[in-house]
This record gives sequence, C-alpha cells and structure tokens, in this order.
Amino acid sequence: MIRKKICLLGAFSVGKTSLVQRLVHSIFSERYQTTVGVRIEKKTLMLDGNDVSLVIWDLQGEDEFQKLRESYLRGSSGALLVADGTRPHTVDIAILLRDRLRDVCGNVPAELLINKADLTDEWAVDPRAVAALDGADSEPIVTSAKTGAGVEGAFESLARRILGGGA
Amino acid sequence: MGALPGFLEEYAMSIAVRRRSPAYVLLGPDARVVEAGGELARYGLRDLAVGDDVTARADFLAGMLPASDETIELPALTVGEGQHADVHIGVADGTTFVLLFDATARVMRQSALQQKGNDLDLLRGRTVRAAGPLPADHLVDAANVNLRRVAVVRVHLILVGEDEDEPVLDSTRVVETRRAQRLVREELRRQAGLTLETGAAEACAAFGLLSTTGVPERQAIDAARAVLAIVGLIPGVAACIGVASGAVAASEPTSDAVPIVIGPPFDHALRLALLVGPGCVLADDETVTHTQGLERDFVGWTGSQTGPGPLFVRRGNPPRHGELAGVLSALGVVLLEVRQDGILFPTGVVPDWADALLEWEGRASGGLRPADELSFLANFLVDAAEFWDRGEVGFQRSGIWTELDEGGENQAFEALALVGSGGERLLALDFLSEAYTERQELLQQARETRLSFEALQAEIQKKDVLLHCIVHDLKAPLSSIVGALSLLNTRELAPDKVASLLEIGLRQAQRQEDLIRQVLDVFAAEIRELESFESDPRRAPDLSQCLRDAVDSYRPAYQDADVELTLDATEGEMRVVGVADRLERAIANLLENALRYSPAGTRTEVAVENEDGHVRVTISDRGPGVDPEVAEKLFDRFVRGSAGGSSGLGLYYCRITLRSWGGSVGYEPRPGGGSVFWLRLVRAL
Ligand SMILES: Nc1nc2c(ncn2[C@@H]2O[C@H](COP(=O)(O)OP(=O)(O)OP(=O)(O)O)[C@@H](O)[C@H]2O)c(=O)[nH]1
Ligand SMILES: [Mg+2]
Repeated sequence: MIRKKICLLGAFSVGKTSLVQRLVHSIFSERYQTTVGVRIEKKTLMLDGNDVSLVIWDLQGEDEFQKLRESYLRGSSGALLVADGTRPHTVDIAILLRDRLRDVCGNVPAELLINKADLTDEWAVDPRAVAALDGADSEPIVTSAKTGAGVEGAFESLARRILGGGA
Repeated sequence: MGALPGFLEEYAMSIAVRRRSPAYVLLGPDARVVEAGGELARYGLRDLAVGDDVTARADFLAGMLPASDETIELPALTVGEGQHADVHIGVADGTTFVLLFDATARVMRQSALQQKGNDLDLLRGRTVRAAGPLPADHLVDAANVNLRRVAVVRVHLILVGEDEDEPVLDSTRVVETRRAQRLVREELRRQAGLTLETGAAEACAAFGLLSTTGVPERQAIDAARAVLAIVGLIPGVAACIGVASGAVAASEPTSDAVPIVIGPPFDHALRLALLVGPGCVLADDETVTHTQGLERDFVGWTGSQTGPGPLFVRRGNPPRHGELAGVLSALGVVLLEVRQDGILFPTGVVPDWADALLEWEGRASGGLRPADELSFLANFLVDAAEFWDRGEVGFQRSGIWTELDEGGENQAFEALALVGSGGERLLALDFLSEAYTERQELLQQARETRLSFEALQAEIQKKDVLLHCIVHDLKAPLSSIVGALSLLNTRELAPDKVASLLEIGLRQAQRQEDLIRQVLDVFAAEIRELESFESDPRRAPDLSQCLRDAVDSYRPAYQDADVELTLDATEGEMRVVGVADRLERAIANLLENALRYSPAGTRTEVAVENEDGHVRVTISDRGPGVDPEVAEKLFDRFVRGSAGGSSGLGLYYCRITLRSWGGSVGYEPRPGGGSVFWLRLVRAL
C-alpha cells in the first residue's frame, strides 16, 4: 500500500485538529483544545480503486508562543495549509507557512483550506480574492470541520496531487 | 378621568380574567380557608378545602397574615416551579382575601431581557479590558519569556558527608544547612535583590530547599547563579541544582563540580542533572514521584523517615549510563543507546508504553527501531544524528508529540538526544503527563485570550466603519436641505419656486429623520428580538393596509425622483404574523432602498403573492441590480464595501425583524435588469 506523510499547517485555532478529527473519526467538537507539539493520526483513503494510507501530522498552531520547527516537515509528501475564514490574517500566515514548507520539502503539493465555512455571519475572507492575491496554482478549498463540507474532498484532492493524478 | 362605564368595565374584567387566570382565597381568623375559587391549580393550590390552614399550603403567605387593612401587593412572586404570580393580600368587608394573578409570561420576558443585559455588560467589560492594557502587558510579555513571565526558583543544596557510609543528616548537618540557607538568602538579597521564602522548616533542614515564586524568569536565572557562586563557600555543601521552572531549558555547567540546570518541569531537570551532573542528587516527594529504584541504584543514604522525602547522595565518579537507566526507568524514562546503523538498544527495561513507539528489529540483533518510518521518532532521529555528529555537550529536545494509544487516549511524549560520559549516543524517551497538561493549559489560556481579543477588535473596527457610514447617510439629505435653504435666501424668487424649495427641504428633512429612526430601530430591534408578536388573526397586522400606508408615505419622494411607484393586488385583508408598525417600517426600508438605486423615468412595482401558508411581498426596481458577491451579504449588519459607503442598516433591520416573526427576506436579480427584494411572512390563521 502507498503510504504518504502529510502535514497540516496554519495559525492557531483555525481548525487543523478539527479537520483531522472530522476526517478520521467523523466527529466534531465545539470545544477548543489547543495542540501542543505534534499529533499524529492515520487514515486510509480509497482513490480510484487504490488504497492510500495517509500519516497525518497535525502540527501545533503557529504564533508567538509556539513556532513551527522546520524539521517536522521533513519527508512530507504534501501539506494542507489551513486558514480560518473568519480571521483574515490567518490566510497570510498560511501563505507564509507554505514558503517554509517549500524551503524544506521543495515543490510538494499544498492545498490552501479556508475553514469554518459554516460561520457565514462572521465570514471575512473571499476565496477568489485569496486565489488572485496568492497567485497559487489552485483555488483555495472552502471547508467546514463542523458540517464536514469539503473536508474529505480536500484530503482527497491533496492525495491525488501527491500521487500525480492531476487536480 | 372618570370611572369606566359599566359595559367597558365588564369587558376589561373579562380580559383580565382570560389573560391573568385569577384565583382567590377568603380567610377567616387563624388563616383558615372560608372560601376559594378561580384557577387555584395554577398556583399549586389545587385541592384547597374549606377549613385548611392556608399558610401550610402556600409558603409565600408565611408571615403575611393576619392581613392589615391596607392591601399589600407582592408582584412577581415565585409560587411554584417556573410559575410566577402577582399576589394581593388585604381585608375587605371584614374578610381577609388573597388574590392571585398569573405573572409568568411577564417574569420570563423580564428575565430574558435581563440576561441579555447582563451579557451586554459582560461584553462591555471585556471590551474595555481588551482595549486597555491587555496586549502590551499580558500577551507580549508572555511571548517574550516563553509562556510565563513568572518563574519559580528552587534551590537544592546538596550536602555531602565526610564519610561515604555515614548519614549525611545529623545535627551538625542541620546546623550547617540552616547556616547555608542564611548565607544563600543574604547573598541572594545582595546580588539579585530577591527575598526568598524558605519552605517548611524540616524540608529546609533536610534539603536546604529555598524557593520563591512569582519572580521574573531573568531574575530566577540570576538567582540560581548567585546561589551557585556562593555554594562553594559553604562547608559541607558540594553541589547545587538550581531549577527555575517555567523558563526555557538551558544547561550551563559553571564549573565541573556544580551544574546548574534550569528548565521545566522539575522532574526533567532533575533527570538531566543526573545525566550530566557530578553524581549527587537530592530529591523530595514534591518533585520526584517514582522513587523505587532510586534507592537501589544509588548507594548512600536515604532519609525518608525524617524528612518529607528521600535524599539520595552519591559521591565519586559520575554514574555510568547503565546505572542511570535504572534510575531513569524508575522515573518513567527509557534510555536507549543508538548504534551507528540507527538501531536502538535499551539500557534497561522497556516499559509497556514504549511499545507503541518502538518495534523489535529482529531476534538476532535484539535492537529496536522506531515503529514507523514516517513517525515522529524516526523523524527526530535524523535531527539527533546531526546533533551527535556535531559532538557538542548538552542535549537536544525533540519537542512534544502526541499519539493515540490502544485505548484511544492521547499520550504525550518527548525525546532527548544526549551524549553519554563515554561518548555514547543516547536517546531518552519520556512519557509526559502533568508537564504536558500544564503546558497545554497555559498555552490554551494565552490563545483563548488572544482569540477573544481579536474578536473584540474586529467588532470595534466594524462599529467604527458603521459609524462612518451612518454619518455619510445622514449627510446626503442635509446637503439638499442646506442647498434649498441657501436658494431661499436669495431674493426675487417666484412664489411657486419658493414653495417647491420649501417642499424639497422639508422632504429631505423628513428623510433624514427616517434615517435616524432607522438607526435607532436597529439598536432597539436587537434587544426586542425576543419580544412577543401578534399571531392571533383577529389582532395580527393587515399586510394590505401596511403596504398601502408605506406606499402612500413614499409616493412624494418617488415623484421627486421621477420614479413611478405601483402597488398591485392588495384588495381585502391579509393578516400576517408580526407587529403592524414594524412591518410597515420594514416595507418602507425596502422602498427607500429601491428609490436610492432607481434611475429617473423608471418604475418600481410592489406586489403580493400567496404561497402555501405564507405571503410573499416583492419590490422590483429597474436599478443596476446587485453584484452577486455583495448580494450574499446584503442583509448583514454591516456590508463591507457596500455601495456609496451606506450603512445598509435598513436591510439588516428587515432581516432581524422578519426573522423574529418566523419570516424571511431576500434578494434576487430581476429578469430583464434591476433588483427584486422580497419579504416572506407567515399568514396568521
Ligand atoms: N464553526 C466552526 N468551528 C470550527 C470549525 N473548525 C474548528 N472549529 C472550532 O475552532 C476551534 C479551534 O479548532 P482546532 O481544530 O482545535 O484548531 P487548531 O487549528 O487545531 O488549533 P491549534 O491546535 O491551537 O493550532 C474549536 O473551538 C473548534 O470547535 C468549523 O469548521 N466551524
Ligand atoms: Mg490543533
């Protein structure tokens, strides 16, 4: 079976852990429990008839209290860069983190996720504007760990790109 | 004001009886029931019988009887689970009466409002705090010192006896220790300006423990250094471990004999001291929880009977890592020696918890490997190898990581790369529990504070922009008024011109008044959201009437702007759930909005359609329509980048008002150009 390490990167409280919990255990909790260090989970996805086993590194949020250790990124085949759609500056952090990912891992696939899509009232990020500003190769994926919308798709899309199967 | 005419009084009574569910009790002397009636059950007095002692049945009457001539009224008394009543007690015609009216609905409403008020107060408090000194003092400083500004200094003086086999702690030693403490304390005051509190007397005697809390990290380190500097002067004290918990880990042996280890948590620091230190260790209950094994592995003396914890002393050579392994495993740490090929060899027993992280390399080699080539540990070994190759003293931490154990629980670990006294490459694996929780909690707190600060900042920003937009909205009609007035000020105007200028000025003034009302409406509506509305078809508002009134009042403004305004299909009554004046206001807001965007010479149509149990009002204009991107947010409290910097409060008002009646509002593009705004209301049936 093909096994790949992927990382979740992003500012604190954007929903990295929640996305993994949604994908792996199909659960969601409103309660915030910040991740210290790294949390590792595994999930097997069926992609076009093949099993792909993802080793998911859910990394601690980036802020002034905790900095990303670049050595954590080593050996990553790809990453999900997560931002919070209600906190625009988290998009900037996600983009900065992508540069650091590229420094360590080269040009591995990375999907930009804008999470918390269910919070329409507080939504403050325009995905199209982000795509334009970012000049990325793909549009950001809007997700909600709470409703599950877009979550599996985001991981699958990353897995496909890792396997070279196109977008 | 005269009394009500008889027929009206009767009517008023009937309403009171229907809505307030009265009940009464007439009492004789000694509070015995003479007669009772009305909706007694509602007040928990279901089977009140003649002759009963009423105070035994109704707690709220205790102490109120006998009644005085003056009737007393007790509003909103709690008379049962979730039941509230206005209670009147008095004497009429020589008979004591108790009259009860239901007040539950009123009390509930009040308490909901009060709740909302309290929430607002709390929020206000938080805003003040957030806008105040929070970021500078709390967050930034916390960041600088890595989580916590304050540190705990603990200084452990290690006493070594003259003779290896002789107990260290005898009476002379106690005196020595006390003297040492005093010296240390004085020295600290002189050098670092610190006042240290000593621990419990015995603890000090046994361990020479000095501690103080709430010291800034820098000072804590200085203090530990200061202690080191004088330790050598004290007879009988051979070594010292200074631990400043809460600070960043740093190992800085200042001399061969005296290591200093600064770092959280204490257990950890102690372990490091074991590894790099001179072989003298002192432990107490507070800091070392697993002590079996220590006694076995350390020759020397243990004094667990007299002090609060055991004391381990060892002299001579630094312990070899083979011996250390036993100590470490007692402390819950696995020590592995790493061979060149990356295979790990345990130097002691490998505890169960390590099974998840390590797997056997093979029977022949007897070595271990990280359990998964993509795992955290495998990844860290790459960094560790670099560290070992550099050949530096000290250690390298992996950082904390967590993995699910077999029971589905999250477990936290940390690894440490070290170099042994013989140059061995050592890997210590640590299973974290309290240390992890503590760090997690601190971080969590800091982040939650930061999040609420950010949220409040965003809210304040929004309010600022909103204020700007409101001012902008209010200014537009004012310019027209000023324009009209200045024209009037010029002489030689034809009388019809004067009249039309006055008309314009007046209308714009009214418009401004409307806008101000809109602003006030919104703020009131946010609080009023919980209030009741009319759904009884006999009293529910008539939509047809509301539409006619709103359209009539906007007709002149539309004429001014040369926009035609038509109203369709409103013959007959159409009762809907809501409140009449607020419904009219919502319609007016949509008319105002359509007018704002309608070019001269076009038409705006108001129409009504019946839907299953609902009514839909549409207001269609032939303006430029709304950009789909903006359309999603049209009814939000504040639309960023909305046209002309308008506050758009009118549409927000429609949304919250309609929502509170179970209705909705929306926008769709008009086929052929322009906008359709609609209101959907529940029919009162
Ligand atoms: N409404 C909503 N809330 C979400 C969503 N995803 C996460 N949250 C909430 O956001 C908070 C933070 O979620 P986490 O998953 O812990 O965020 P994280 O990025 O792992 O945070 P750190 O570990 O601190 O970096 C929690 O209170 C979650 O319940 C979402 O899609 N919608
Ligand atoms: Mg997390």
